[in-house]
Amino acid sequence: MFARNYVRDLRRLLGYRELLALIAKASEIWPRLNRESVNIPQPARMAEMAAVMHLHFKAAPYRGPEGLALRGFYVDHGQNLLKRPLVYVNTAHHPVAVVTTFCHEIGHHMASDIFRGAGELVHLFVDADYAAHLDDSTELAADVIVALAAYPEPLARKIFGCQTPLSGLVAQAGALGDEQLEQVRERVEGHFGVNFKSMKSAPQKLRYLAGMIHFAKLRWALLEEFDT
Amino acid sequence: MKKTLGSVLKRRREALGLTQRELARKLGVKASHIAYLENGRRRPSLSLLSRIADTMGLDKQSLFVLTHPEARTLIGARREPTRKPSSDQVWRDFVGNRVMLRRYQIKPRELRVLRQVNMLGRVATPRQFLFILNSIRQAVDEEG
Repeated sequence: MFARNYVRDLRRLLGYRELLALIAKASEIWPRLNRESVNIPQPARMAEMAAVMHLHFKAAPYRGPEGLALRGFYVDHGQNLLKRPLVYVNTAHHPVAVVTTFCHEIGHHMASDIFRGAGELVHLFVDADYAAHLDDSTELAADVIVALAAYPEPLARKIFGCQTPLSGLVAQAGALGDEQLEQVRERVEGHFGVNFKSMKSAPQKLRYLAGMIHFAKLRWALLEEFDT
Repeated sequence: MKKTLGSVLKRRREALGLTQRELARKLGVKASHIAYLENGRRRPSLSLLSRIADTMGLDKQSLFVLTHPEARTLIGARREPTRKPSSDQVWRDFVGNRVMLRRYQIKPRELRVLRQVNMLGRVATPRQFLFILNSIRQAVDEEG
């Protein structure tokens, strides 16, 4: 994940039209998406939002080492299984991770129309399995919603805008520089209230840090590839 | 029949229930490239080989030796892969546990859905299958 060229992966898996369609659909729920930060909703508010989208919604803790590996999942309707899609988020995680999962699963719902026929019936969000997301257009599309929600365009330009002197065909989002990484960490700790130092589980802290870097690199790639 | 990279890929793809087009999409290549690999007209690059192994749950070293048979003596490769994909083992444990299947009254239709979940290769334990199934059952109940 750390060595991946996110621009190349984004270009390979997601077209500009698909991105615009994705943003348009997500804006029906979050009208200020990519213009302002998305507020962190409580599970009750998530349930209300899911109801507006005619989704089944389940927010419950699933603990234990193997339980925490599961961040959430999205089950599409069809195949005579469900009349409405199902979103599950594992609330045993840090509240910010729960919101991230919610945005990711809602992203699947948005992407299901755009990639209709190409997606799986069930999408599992496994903690820190981000490298796999870079090989799957529906997973990447779902992550795009998270990246846009966490880093609206004005902020993304401020943090990543001057990172690469090159653009266009040779653009790439490789390793984050120290300065950008520091701004990303300040954003995650300051705005979202994540305190990495207070986390007792070192493996879990590493998984959350991996998520922080993944979504930052993806946001940077969106800016580089699509100027969005 | 002689074991070749193409025959291994085709057998595994069919076992996973994937079309060439679906596999190609997962790997980020054209469907025609999959056809070329399966009929032995192309050799995959190392990076593609790695993605194939990860996506299809195959052993990387075995695939490498099948792609480059001349390298067998250099790397002392095994004749057969000894490690099965862990997610497959989880699935076998799950469907092989008749007592559990009876206790939870898991229907063939539900097993088909869970089999699709297994194909994602991300389920770590049989308990996760049950958790996913129960969540879906609750949603079905809500629909009446």
